Amino acid sequence: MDPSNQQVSITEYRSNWIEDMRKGVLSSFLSGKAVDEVRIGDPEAPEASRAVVVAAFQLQKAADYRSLLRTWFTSVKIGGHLVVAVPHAFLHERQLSLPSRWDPSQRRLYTPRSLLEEVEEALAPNSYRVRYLTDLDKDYDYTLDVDQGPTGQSDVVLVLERIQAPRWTPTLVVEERQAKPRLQTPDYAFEPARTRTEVAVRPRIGKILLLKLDHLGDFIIGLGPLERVRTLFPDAEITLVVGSWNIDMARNLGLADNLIAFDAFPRNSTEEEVNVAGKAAIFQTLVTGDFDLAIDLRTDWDTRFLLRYVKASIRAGIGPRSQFPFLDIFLPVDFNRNEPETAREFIFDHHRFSTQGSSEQTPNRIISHAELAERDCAIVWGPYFGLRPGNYVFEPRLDVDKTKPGLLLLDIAINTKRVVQDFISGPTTARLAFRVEKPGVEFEFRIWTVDIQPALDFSFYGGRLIREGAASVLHQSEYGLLLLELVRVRLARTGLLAEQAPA
Amino acid sequence: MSHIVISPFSNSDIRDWPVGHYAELVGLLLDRLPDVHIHVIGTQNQKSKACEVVRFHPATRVTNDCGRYPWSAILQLLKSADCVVANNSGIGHLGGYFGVPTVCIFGGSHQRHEWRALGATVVLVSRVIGCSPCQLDHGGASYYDKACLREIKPAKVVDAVLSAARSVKRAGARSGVAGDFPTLPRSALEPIQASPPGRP
Repeated sequence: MDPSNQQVSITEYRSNWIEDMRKGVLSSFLSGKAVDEVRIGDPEAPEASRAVVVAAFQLQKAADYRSLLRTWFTSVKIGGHLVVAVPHAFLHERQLSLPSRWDPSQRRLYTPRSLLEEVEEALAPNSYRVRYLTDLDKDYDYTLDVDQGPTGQSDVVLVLERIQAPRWTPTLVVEERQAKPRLQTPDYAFEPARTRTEVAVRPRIGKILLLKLDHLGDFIIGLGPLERVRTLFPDAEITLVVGSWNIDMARNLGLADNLIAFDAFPRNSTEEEVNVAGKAAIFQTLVTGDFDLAIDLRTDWDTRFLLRYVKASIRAGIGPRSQFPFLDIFLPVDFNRNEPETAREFIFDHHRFSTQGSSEQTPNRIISHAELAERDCAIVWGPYFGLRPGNYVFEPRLDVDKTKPGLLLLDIAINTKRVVQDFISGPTTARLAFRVEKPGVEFEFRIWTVDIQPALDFSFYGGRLIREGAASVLHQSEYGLLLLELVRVRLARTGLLAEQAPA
Repeated sequence: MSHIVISPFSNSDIRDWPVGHYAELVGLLLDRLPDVHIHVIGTQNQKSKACEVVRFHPATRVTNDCGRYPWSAILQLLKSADCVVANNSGIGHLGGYFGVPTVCIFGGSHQRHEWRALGATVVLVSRVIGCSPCQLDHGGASYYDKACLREIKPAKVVDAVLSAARSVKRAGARSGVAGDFPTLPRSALEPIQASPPGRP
């Protein structure tokens, strides 16, 4: 192969390119039009001053293709055309990567896809339409080896028409799914809107204050967390505030460097009214130092407010920040845990139930007469009571006439669907156990006659519904240990967010 | 600085800083950092949108690399970056995870205390705004057209990039390793006083 000969051949071919195109595949765009051929380094033409701009074999040599394409394109009039031709990577170069075999100044290899990608980067959507894009291979000799220069056409050619961008183009460009704001900015809420810049920091912990203001038993089961503090911060000076009844034990166990006795609670809460808030002033006189970290290790919320009176860089405790906004590190335990966890008993008297023809409502019961009852139908139903998830038992209070034989069906329906049933043929204490999986369902108890036997005479006085107490709480010591683990993670791993002062 | 990686798109547009802001940020960074090269990354599907970020910047210094590289190459690009700029997104988390100086532009839809990128090299830029958190998932649903992001000005993010770049780059290091956070005196933790209502 003789590259210099090949270069001449390519040069000759390209020197006639526009005329070839005018007579050939681009005749509809070039024929009879004033054509401005552009090259890298040409001075910029005025905006929308040209009918047809041809950039033949220039783009592949440009470093900043975006700028060049934009410059060429903006010189085209609305309705005019920009023609771009580049060597084809697979026809002209016959390789997938640079350097070019034939032109060391070539910076990129092109296919129709990559050429169009550059156009899409450079030009705004809907400022142009693609009118022509093709591989040119007229007279191309596919039998030549790759080290022989290409013959014939071996290019990619693209023709763009410049159009008037529709008025909705900016919406497309800026945000695909732009909201329609009713207000441009929210009104002032809690503080003036501003941009904040934050980094995670790890403050030095030299002095620690611990509050453990519980009674003896709580103190004992809180020893694990107290000992954990010393392990986590072996070099820190620890001050521990405890009830006076616990101070000797705290001293003997070596839990802290300093001890402060503060009786937030009476020693015996059944003998004296609890008034932690009323002792805040005493607390402030006792706890006066500056601390890097203050932790309230009590699980219940009632001492947390004391942290507000502590001079500490970081305050940590159990409970949500929505309830304790002064906490820097908080373990968001739901203090409503006791309500949904509590065993509950609901008593329904007979008035909460309905009955039908064979039975009668009296002031203190529903009386049902077997001889009047239709077979295979509900004769008592109710009370349609909303339940939350849990385990339940319903105990109907039934007084059945034991002198006559018969049969009754008792069942529980949840949202009208039977979940448990029981047959009774005489006096008994029925217990219907069932589980509710979803919140907001409706509980219904029913008494049915059956079709194979006569019913029983009975009196119905209502019933008792019992919800089992749940046990999704943690041990008190675990709450404390989790809080300390959170403190450790926050200080050593995730860090505390600190705002950077404006530059 | 040699190169900055910008990832303008998360998988939820409520968390995306506006494309126009990213485009302006790129311009400001090119002005401030004359030798820097900026890679705009994303998926192939995000390539068209990324065109709006790169369009008016020189191709020699800003590349639209959406969909261009395999994931392994993206990871290498991130690890070697002098700074990563991202929304509250996976790339932001990766930047922090790799110990690369990372600026995370955090919208108000979610709580930054819960979802922020971790690491000593992460700088978080967010907006104090009364409607946050809204917990919305789609930008089109935003009552205020994502004011929490829209009102974060590109110049502020440039400052954050320069601030992040000053942090020690820990190539290959995992975030959250003890001892890597800047240790500040207690005074640094004092909240910055907000201006009273009515003052700028």
